Amino acid sequence: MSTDTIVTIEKVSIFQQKNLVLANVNLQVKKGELVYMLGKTGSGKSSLLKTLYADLPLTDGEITIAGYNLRTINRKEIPFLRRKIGIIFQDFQLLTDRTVNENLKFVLKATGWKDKEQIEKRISDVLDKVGLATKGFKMPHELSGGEQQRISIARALLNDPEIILADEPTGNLDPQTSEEIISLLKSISDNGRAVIVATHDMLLLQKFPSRTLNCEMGKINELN
Amino acid sequence: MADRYSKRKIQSSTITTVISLSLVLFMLGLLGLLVLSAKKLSDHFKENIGFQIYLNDNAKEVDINKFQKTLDAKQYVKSTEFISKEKAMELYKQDVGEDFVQFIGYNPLPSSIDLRLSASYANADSINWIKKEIIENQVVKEFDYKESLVDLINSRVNTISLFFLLFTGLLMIIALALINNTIRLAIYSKRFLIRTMQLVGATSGFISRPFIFNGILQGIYGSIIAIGLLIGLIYLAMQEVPDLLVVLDSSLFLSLFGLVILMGIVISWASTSMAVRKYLRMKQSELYY
Repeated sequence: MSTDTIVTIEKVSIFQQKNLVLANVNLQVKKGELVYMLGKTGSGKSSLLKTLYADLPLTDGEITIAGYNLRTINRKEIPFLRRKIGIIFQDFQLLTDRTVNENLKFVLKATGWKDKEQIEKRISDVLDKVGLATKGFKMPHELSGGEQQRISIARALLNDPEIILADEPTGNLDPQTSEEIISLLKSISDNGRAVIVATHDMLLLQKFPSRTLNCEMGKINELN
Repeated sequence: MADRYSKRKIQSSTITTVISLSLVLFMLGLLGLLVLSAKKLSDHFKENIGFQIYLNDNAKEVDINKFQKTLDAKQYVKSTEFISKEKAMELYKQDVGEDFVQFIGYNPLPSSIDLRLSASYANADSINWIKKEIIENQVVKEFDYKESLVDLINSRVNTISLFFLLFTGLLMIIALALINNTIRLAIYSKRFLIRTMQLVGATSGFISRPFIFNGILQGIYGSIIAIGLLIGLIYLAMQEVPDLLVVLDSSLFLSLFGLVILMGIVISWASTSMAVRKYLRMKQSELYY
């Protein structure tokens, strides 16, 4: 395995409850790669991502991600794995009871940041990166869908993760905003991070072409 | 403004939880008050049962004093009072209204010690061995008491105690279930936040801490309100029954208030911990049910 490889998946089967949705998945993702995962609803792409961030247990095969073996990982190690992964959701999953700044501050404090000045600087840096430097004081519900997704991306970037997993990040957004979000993810991968995006939006793939995997009939195939 | 709106929402849910907690704790405090009153009242009755130790006519005063002092030192004795032959005669005269010494020419009544037992010894078993112990002393002629009264008081107290025990047990279960349910509902409304916190890499301890801290704080607030209500109720009750303070002393009130605070903290801490733990272990698909 090359030192650039951030995810290695070998002979993995993915189940939804007891139904097999993906079988014999073999895959490697390297630093700086933007990988699209296409597939219909229920094709298993979200389940694969959930397995990657240890929300679903790995029952068959081997996965190594950001230095963690998901086969042997224990419950207490999962938060530390997730600190090395940035996760972006279709429904943003922001903490709705606090402001944008407090959302980001929570993640930093939860992941061991103590210095107040460093925390504020990091928040300002990531908000700047996603183009929302002036929105820190807002509550999530005061922001548009696109802005909330940008905050979600900012949150994923806080701990400088080695890989970003985005599960249908444009699913709730209009075409214009979707383009902006994918463009942002592309620039993140251009800066050396691996980004895996589960989507079914073919138009975005045409605008920002990159390595594409197709989940169909219980298998994952490379498209290009 | 939206920030204020959100804070208001959080405050209102906190207020609801605190009010529920305080009402249940008030109910528990009230129950504690009743149990304490009942215990004090039964002790009061038991400690007022009279036991007469009749003394030999030829017993020397020094021996009687020694015997009385020995009795006073016993754990089972609440109080003793020496009643001389003359005083016994006076008491008899007051009761009956006749001076029979004039008829028979001498005072036939023996001197005696009026004994009051501590409440925990005022039962048939203890009285039997106490009687044996006392009667062995040479100054003692006879040990007398109203056996039927002791039995009656004990059987009534036992029935009432059993009723209180069952009632307390039942109310405790209701109280625990109510508090647990209130807190679980409050945490249930935050189950998706808990999940998001997990997904961004927060450890279970880090997620639980503020919930538990808030739970304990709510327990303290709830118990302070409950104590306020109890004090108000006790004040009102004392306006009606001024003798209440004779039965219940202030140290008992303080212990009861301490217990209410302790229960508020322990119950809210335990319920919050259990509820948060439940949602920390839940799968995403289970959160929707």
